[in-house]
Amino acid sequence: MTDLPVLSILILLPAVGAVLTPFLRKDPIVRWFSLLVLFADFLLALWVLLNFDPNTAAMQFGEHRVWVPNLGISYRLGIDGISVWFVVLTSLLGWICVLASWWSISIRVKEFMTCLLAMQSLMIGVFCALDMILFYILWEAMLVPMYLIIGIWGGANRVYAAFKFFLYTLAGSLLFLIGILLLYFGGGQTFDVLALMEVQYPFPLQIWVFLAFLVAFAVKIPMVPVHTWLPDAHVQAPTAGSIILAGVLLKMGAYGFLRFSLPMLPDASQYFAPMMIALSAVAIVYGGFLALAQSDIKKLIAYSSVSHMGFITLGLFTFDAKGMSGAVIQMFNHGITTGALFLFVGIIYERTHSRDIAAYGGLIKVVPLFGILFAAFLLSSMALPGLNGFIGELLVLAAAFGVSGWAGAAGALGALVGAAYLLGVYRQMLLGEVKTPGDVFVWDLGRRELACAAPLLLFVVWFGLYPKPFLTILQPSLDHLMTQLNPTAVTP
Amino acid sequence: MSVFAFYLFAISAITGGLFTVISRQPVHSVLWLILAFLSSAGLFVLLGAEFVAMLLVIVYVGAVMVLFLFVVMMLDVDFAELKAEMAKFMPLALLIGLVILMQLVMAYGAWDSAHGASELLANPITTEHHNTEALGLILYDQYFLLFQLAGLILLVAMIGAIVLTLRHRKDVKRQDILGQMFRDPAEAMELKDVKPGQGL
Amino acid sequence: MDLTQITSSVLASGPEIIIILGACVALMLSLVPRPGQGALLAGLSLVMIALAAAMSLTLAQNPQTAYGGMFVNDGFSTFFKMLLYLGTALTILISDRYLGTEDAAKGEYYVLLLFALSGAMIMVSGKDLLIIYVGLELQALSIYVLVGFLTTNTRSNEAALKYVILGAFSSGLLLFGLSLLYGLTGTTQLEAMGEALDSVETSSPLLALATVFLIVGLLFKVGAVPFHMWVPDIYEGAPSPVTGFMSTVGKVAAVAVILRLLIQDLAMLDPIWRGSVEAVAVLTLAAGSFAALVQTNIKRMLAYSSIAHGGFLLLGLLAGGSEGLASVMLYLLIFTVTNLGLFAVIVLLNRGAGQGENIQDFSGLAKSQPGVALMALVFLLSLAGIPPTGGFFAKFYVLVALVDAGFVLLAVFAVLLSAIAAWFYLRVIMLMYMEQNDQPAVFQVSPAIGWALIVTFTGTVLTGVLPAWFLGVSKAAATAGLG
Repeated sequence: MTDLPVLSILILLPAVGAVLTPFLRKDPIVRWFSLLVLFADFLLALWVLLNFDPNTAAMQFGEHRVWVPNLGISYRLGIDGISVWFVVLTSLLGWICVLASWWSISIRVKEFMTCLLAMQSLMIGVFCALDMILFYILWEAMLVPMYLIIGIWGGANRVYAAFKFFLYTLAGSLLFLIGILLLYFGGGQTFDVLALMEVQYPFPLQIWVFLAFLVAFAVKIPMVPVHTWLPDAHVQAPTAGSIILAGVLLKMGAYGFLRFSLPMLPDASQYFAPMMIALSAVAIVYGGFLALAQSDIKKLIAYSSVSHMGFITLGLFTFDAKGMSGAVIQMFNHGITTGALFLFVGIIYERTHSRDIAAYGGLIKVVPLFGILFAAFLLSSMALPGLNGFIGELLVLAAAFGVSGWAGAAGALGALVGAAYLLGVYRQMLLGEVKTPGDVFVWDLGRRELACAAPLLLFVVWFGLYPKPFLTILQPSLDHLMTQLNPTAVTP
Repeated sequence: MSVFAFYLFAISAITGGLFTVISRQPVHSVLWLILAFLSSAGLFVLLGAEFVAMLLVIVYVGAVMVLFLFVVMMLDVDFAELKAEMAKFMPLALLIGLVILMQLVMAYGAWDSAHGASELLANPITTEHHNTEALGLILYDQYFLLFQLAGLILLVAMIGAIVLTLRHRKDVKRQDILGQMFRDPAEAMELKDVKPGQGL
Repeated sequence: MDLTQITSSVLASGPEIIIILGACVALMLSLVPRPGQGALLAGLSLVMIALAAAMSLTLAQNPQTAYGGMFVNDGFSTFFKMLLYLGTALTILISDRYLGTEDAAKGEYYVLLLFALSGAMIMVSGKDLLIIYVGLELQALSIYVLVGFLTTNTRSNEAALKYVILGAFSSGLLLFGLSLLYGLTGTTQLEAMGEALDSVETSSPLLALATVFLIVGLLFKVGAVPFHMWVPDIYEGAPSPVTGFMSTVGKVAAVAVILRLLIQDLAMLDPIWRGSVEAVAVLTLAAGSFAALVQTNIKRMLAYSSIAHGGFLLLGLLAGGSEGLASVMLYLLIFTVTNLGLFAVIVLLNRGAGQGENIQDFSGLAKSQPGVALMALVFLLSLAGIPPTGGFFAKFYVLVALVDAGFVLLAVFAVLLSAIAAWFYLRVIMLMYMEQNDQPAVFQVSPAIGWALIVTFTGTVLTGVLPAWFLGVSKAAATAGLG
């Protein structure tokens, strides 16, 4: 471990790139520059992962600088076993997004890359932040580049989708701010996350703060019934936007529960657990059935995200070691898999400009490489044993059955429906008679697209067959979280 | 005697104010207003503030009311139309006036004089200065800053009036001396090469 | 007062005297019509403001009262004066271009701006109700004329007329309240008044009446509901730099007076006005946020947005204490910088005769003028309260003060209404970046406006990313104000 402020470099490198990009002249230079910056960021994240000490639950690579002493806000960074994986996920998806948008974004490339770089910086910052106001600022600031990405480079109805995304998320986040302030004044007089975790808050305060936090995280995840922004945002966003949205942004809501609601408000979390489990079950089944009814491939994947995130929240609120580790694994794997799915949808969209599932057919005969890889990711999303999606769902389902039979049943039903629509897509688009929308000629994956897909496929297979590295690094932090959750006597 | 004078001046002031509002001719309104001011001046004299009374007569009646008369004379104001507009809002205005009147009555019922106000009223401070001198001493000494600022406000009002209304007529030719003096010789003349038989 | 007192008083009010002298010199110079007169007068005004600012900073070293206790120079008034200088300087920078486009350049513009500044400075330093009133009138009168400055434009004339009538009416209400307070306490000096009021029951109807009229008169100036009706019409009709001036400098001065009266000297009146001002604050936030959603004229929209921000300031006032006071002061600083930055962009978009003031004129700006569009983006995000801009920090600090004082429900209302308000700011951003326009606005950025944009942009970003210094300054000024 060097004395370099590694996390700050990790966060600021894309930001510096974002500031420099508008001054570059030609589009090709802009693309290569962004790719290099984000790839370097990814290598740095890998270095952090490799140098991570899996034996302690304490925050590592910590940094602390005083920021606003009058209010107790400081610039505090650190990662533990949970957040390190999300940093890796975010930086991986970053350069993949640049590659995926290489040719599909042809207007105002400079601004697009600036937005992507800014997003990257903010997202990594969110996962590393250990001061509540720093976390909040980065969380909110993410809305602006995402709004621009959807609104400028998106589909036909992009402005409406961008507004919906922004306003929904903003409304939730603002109540989050009030919750933070209640925590500050109710217990700690500090915004330091680790210190706030140590304070025992009175039960009524915990209830209110949990609800305030719930609104923000529920909109982000998204949980039913505040999920309606997701289909619009996903469908209208450009490929890179969808990859980031599904791969990273959705995870932030669940990360919020993990990092803030559960450790700081254990009593309230226990109190609301039945409600959260019920909502998760609804999300799993409802999202699944909605996905079953879609004819637009992006909307289908969007609703399947709602369903999968339902699994994650279900696992989180079982308060069972199996369930929670399953949820975190699922978070990482869902990011990889859904990112890959949107990547491939983007690839085929670039060729045909149609998202209509029924218009496709027999792709495996025409573009075999695309077909095989797409199938792999579909099966992973379906939780096929041997691929990465399986282990998470298995652990969550096991824990769910342990907590409530109904929740387990809903989860199983959701898994079943998931298999139904994903296999349905597989059958319709890849098998059968060869058909493309408008009889457009489609060509197979090029080197660039393979380069995007390869690392994702690697993770799919690796964590499917051998998830141990993930679990070893995750375990100490998760155990620490379990101790923080240990039920203290509920004083109503 | 002074009681009689008070009632005389008070009634004429109220009458003047009332007729100002309800009279149909604008010039009559102004004249009734002048009566109201003169009565107020009389009331001030009764209170022992002869300087203020003189100010009222000289400045208000002598300057402001004369100006009003000039303006009313020159403007062709259709009073009947104005009064009709006023009648439209009369109910609301009466309601608000009534509310304020009730508030004032409540306030008067709970009237609390300031500290030492009643003692001062009983034994006013005797000085060898008369009213005008006393006012001058305070105005140029204690309230010096207010005095200067009031002058500034008058200056701004003057500037404002000129800025808003001064217009130069475009069709009347006038000499612009400074414009002539700051004329730029380079732009004053333009040489044109005229071919023979062509004209400009 | 003897000679030493007079000299020290004159020195204490040195900045005001400098500004007034500057105004008189500008008045003389404006009579000499030469090309470049506008730039000369603007430069002269800026130099005078700089001198006055330097003198204010030196005077701030030792706080003192002057003119027999009527005028005060403490940390509180110095902070506000700095804000006033900043606001006026930025207004002057963006005025030259506007007057050129509208073909209304007259030297008296800068004269009146400087007089308005001096009036505001006197309001802020006043420790006597009469001084505050006279300062208020000086400022108001200058602004009445400035609002009607475009004499050939009917909207400008209409706005000036409306402002004169409503301004005179509200000043009358204020004066009535002041006179009742004088009747109750026998003095117009704030310190003595505070002591005298300690012995008066707060349930006294006369005191209640006096407070009500006082508060109503002051709320008129801030533009709080239900006294906000004048704001949209006047903001729309006035020349854009003057609108910027009114919305920032005018508000700063009015809020400074409110703070000085209600939190500092007449704090014992608190139980009388607290309940109604709570309702007023929430209604103001709501009215401003909702009404702005349907506007098509950018200046009208900013007028309603300014009303909403006024509501937030009232919330800070309600929070009270040194935190509440500091939060209001910081909010004013950030609001001044951001709002004037946005008005600089509006001046750039202006094409004369009221054209270029529609929100649709922003469309496609990101393509034709990317730099200016980026700055406008940051200003709009700051007004909406989105991090990491200064506007977020301003709102955050007010929320901290509110929750600290226990007004959590008010904080929740404030936050929800802010979310609604974000929509109309986003709409402008959307038009700039996402709309296609065949004829987007194209303009040259003059050096003066360039400087104004740089200063406001840096200010907005700095207060968001490195707010510690600004926060410290506000807190110090607030403690000086309470002490």
